[in-house]
Amino acid sequence: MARKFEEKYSALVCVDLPKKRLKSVENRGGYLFMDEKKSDPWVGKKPHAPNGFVEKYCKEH
Amino acid sequence: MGRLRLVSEYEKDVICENVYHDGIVQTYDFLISCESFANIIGEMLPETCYTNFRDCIFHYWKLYRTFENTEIDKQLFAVIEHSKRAKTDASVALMKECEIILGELLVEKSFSEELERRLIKMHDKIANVEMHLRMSGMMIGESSFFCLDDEQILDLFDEMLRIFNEDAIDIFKEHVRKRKMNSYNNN
Repeated sequence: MARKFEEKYSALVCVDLPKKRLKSVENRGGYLFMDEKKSDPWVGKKPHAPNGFVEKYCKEH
Repeated sequence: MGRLRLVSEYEKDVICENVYHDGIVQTYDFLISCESFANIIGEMLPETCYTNFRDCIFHYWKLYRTFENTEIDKQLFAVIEHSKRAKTDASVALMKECEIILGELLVEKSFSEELERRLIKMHDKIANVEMHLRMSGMMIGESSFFCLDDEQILDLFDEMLRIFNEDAIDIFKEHVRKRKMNSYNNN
């Protein structure tokens, strides 16, 4: 069953707001640890986890 | 070349029934719940959620029409893959937005010590889950890498709204309104 947050938390709903469509993170060149600053040369090119993070993470899991 | 094998009608029915429930209905429910949450924070889900859901249904239609074993496997994985993408896109986009809202509120407004502690905890929890979701997206086909199901993700959204509903309705509404008006004016 789908949840109806708007009914449950009706007090929080703002009416008549202009809505904006969110962008998919993947379409923004979104990889892990994506830095959205334009000066970052790695944006949208390849994943750039901190050195050793992925190896450490994979070992732990 | 492998030999073609046709599955029986009974086998096909069972497969279709399971896939329909796990791939289509669950994704539909999840996206509807996410839409409901997005309405509260004044956003709309990314288009990719809907295109992936459409593809999910298309592959289910292909699955329904075939009786050949390998083709069934292909379509089965396609349905699962697209449903996973639709759900991940929706939850990651919403979590990113929640992070921004919580971060801005914590910087701009002053809360009681207890509420601030809860909001910081919530912010960190959402940030962690978002990172894990995106990380699990990189591990191809390994859904057990990160074990947080749809209900737990929705629980997280629920928890965030509950905090605001209990203690900071006006602050939340005012902030959402301000953000929306700013983004509307900037566009």
